Amino acid sequence: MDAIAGLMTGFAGAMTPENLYYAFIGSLLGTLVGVLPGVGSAAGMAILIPVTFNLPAEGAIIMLSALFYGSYYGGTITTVLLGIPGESASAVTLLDGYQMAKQGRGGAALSVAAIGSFIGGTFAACGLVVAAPVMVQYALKFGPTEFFSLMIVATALLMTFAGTSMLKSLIMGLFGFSLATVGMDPAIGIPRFTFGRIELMDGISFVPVVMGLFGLSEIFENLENPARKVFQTSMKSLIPSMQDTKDCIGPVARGTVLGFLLGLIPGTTQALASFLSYTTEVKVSKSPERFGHGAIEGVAGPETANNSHANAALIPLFTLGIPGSPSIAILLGAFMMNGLAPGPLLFATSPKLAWTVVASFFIGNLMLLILNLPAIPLWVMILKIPYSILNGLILTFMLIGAYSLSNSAFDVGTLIAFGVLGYIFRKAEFPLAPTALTLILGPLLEKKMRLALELSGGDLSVFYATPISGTLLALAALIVLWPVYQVLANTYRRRTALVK
Amino acid sequence: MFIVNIAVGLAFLCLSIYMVIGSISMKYYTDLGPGPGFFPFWLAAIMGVLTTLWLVRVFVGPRQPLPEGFFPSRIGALRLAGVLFALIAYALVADILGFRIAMLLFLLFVLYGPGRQSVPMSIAIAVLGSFGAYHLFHDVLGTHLPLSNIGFLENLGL
Repeated sequence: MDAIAGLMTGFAGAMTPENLYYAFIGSLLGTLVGVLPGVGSAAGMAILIPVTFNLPAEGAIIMLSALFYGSYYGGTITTVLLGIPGESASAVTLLDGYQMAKQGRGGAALSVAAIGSFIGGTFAACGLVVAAPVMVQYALKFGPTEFFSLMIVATALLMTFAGTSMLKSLIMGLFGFSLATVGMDPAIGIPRFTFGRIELMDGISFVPVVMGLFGLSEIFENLENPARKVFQTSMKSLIPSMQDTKDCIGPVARGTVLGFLLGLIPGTTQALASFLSYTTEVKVSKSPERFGHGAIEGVAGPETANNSHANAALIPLFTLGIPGSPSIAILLGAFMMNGLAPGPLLFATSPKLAWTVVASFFIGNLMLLILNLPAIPLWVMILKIPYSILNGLILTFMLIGAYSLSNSAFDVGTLIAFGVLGYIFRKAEFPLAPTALTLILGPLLEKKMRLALELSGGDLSVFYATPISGTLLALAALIVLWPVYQVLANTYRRRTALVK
Repeated sequence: MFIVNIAVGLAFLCLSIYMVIGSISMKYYTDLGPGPGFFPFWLAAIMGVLTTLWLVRVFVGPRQPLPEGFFPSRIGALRLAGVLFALIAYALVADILGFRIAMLLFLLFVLYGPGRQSVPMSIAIAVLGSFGAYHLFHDVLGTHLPLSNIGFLENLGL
């Protein structure tokens, strides 16, 4: 099935009333997640996974995908109108967006952000349509060895970008891999680290772990802070002026390309895309002194870049089965829970589903554009609900979700335990993203590694002797060792300077 | 941060030692290839080495003070402890009291206690979050939720 024919089939599937409904609900919930400060996209997705348990696979994935990219639209509303970043990716928008709102230009800022997000998101979705068939052709040639090495590269990249300390990221990544080893051995069927508990025979469930690490721990952190008050700034008109529109063309174009390219690299975050877009805009501007005082370019560029990134980050997932962030790892988990394996084989074995989901990205982005602006008063109203009530309702969702996974209170216990662990890790500044990613990649990685070694008769050279695998592993080594080299080089330079 | 870093580092070190010992007791290699102990052994060994490096770095490096707001305020800590207690209590009693009653009590406690909401508001939200959520998830979405196994509650269909 070529890309255009596939996309057309996808649109036919995505336009059914049922799937339109799922995309709508996903977009709505995603915007809500983005609007609520302190609930990130990963936490929001983890909390809302239970809603998708009884849906058909197609609907569940459409809804969760819309929830994922929708959260980045929602984050802007809180950032611009209230001066509180709804999402970490929107933090940089605060600099100019909130200033614009204070000047009564909040409506223009939100319109430009929504339009930019739509352009960025749609461009990245087009990129997926073009790239998917090409990448799938290459990926189909990959054997277990190449896939193992590819997963190592993805893990290395995520650990590099995950936190300030590479060592902490590596330890957290290995912690996730360790959790993934709990349960029945995939080849021989011997229980590993199950403490004799029957509930652990199938391994530690991904959903309560992610809900705990990202969702519950975030609630615990929010409980520490006193209740926030909502101050709403004025909003005169939603329509940007002619000058605003002219000023935004360049930033939107640059943000689209920058976000798209960064999105292709697993481990990079939407926040990084926004930040780089902002600094690019400051650098190319003829009057950089306007930035920080309500420059519309400071909203258009970053907001476009983060949505372009969010959609582009789905390309490695759909074509290679590699999640680049915790949110996408949750989406990968949703695929797996529905008995699907994203990657090159998805387009070969379930082309209708794959293209329907891809087509739903276009529809979801359009829905978000239409939904966002008229619904702003509703979101602001939701923000006025006391945090304690919202927390109570979020906790209800989590407890239902954890229990309904396997109708067992054990998963509720897992949720609470990982909530506490996540809270401790946040306090100790250990990044959580590597754990989520490696927990889901762990079984796949082990399976591919063991298969590769079985096929080679235990010969380890199989990993570096084949050109693709060897190159990928060399790349992974470079990614991990580069920060070490930088530290050593800086120390040497400092010492040389001191001696001189 | 010194104590915190040491504590977390030691916890990881203990985990890696436990995993190394555990994986040694499993088959390292089989006729087919790597056995069930192969992957966990190397994972735990690498984690042990990295954690040791981390601990050395913490001991040798400059000692950083705890960041501002590391410890919650007294009220914040009480709120946190209250919610944690309610969560654990819910996990313990949900299968006995059933979802609706357990969630009703959980929400009443969380909203009225740590949430400092008024009694009518707490009751309204608690009913919505327990009986309302049961209707939505069980009756509409078909999700299984625990029912009480206490005689009279069971008879009431709770």
